[in-house]
Amino acid sequence: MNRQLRVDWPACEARPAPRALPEIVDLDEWGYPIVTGPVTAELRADAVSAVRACPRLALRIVE
Amino acid sequence: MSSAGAGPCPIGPAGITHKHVPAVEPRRNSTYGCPCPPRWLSNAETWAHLGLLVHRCVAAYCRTGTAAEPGTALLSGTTPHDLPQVHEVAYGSRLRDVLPRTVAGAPALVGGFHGSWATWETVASLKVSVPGMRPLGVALGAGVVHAPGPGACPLALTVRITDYLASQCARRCGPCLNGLPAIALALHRVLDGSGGQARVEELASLVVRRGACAHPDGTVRLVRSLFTALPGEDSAHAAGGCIATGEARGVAS
Repeated sequence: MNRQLRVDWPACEARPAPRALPEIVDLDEWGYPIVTGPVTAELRADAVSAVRACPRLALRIVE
Repeated sequence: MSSAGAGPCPIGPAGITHKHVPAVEPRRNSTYGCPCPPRWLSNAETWAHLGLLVHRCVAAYCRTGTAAEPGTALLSGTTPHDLPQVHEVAYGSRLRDVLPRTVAGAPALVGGFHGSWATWETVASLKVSVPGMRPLGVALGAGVVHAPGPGACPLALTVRITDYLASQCARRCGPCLNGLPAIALALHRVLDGSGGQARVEELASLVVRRGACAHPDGTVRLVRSLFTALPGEDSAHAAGGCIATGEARGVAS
């Protein structure tokens, strides 16, 4: 089952963790994340790391 | 909580282990309903319908409207030379019947500031219906119909509305806080001919569905509908004219 990375927009303050999941996360011109794809099984560990690394706790993985 | 959070930021990577982070997506009460009765959701129109149901009966109430949508809707209409008016119309009736003849032929904004621009041909064909209007790309929305009439530039009006909507941002979500003023600026540039529609669309795609509420989505709907319903306005303004007002190249102020 593919999971999605969701951004809690009010919590997000455009402070992305360095190199957080470049496979499925781009940044817009203001530095806010653009999620471009699902969290596949191969990316799951990296996605969990990204969720834990977010200084604003603004990322979560949903099914 | 352990005392391991000795890092400079108590919630950062060196801090606590984030076990308190919810693992499920929060549910919106507006979608799923409030779990704890009593509930109270109301507005003036709901009160009016409640009064009609109490004073008449269900059967009498259902005599107006259509079988699928019984009853009436309140439409607010703003037109160039009249005071704003509120009309009670039966579902299924023609939208153009609430508009004065003076606005015929010109595009209208249907659904309020978060609504959609529609050509007069579309407006003239519309019947008041929530599910019936949606497939035509014109949602009834707040029931507000703004018909500026011939001679008004829909692009100029959209610029003013977008400026206002950008100022009404709750300042909570970054894409909306940054994106709506940027869209408004890009629209100003389309209006004065110094910018193109492509930049507006680029910004719109960076804003839509990237907020906690639907304010950015509604603003993008307004802006996109302008270019969908009235294609060519951007190039007309770039050439110094305006299709909707019929101003020729080089004549527009």
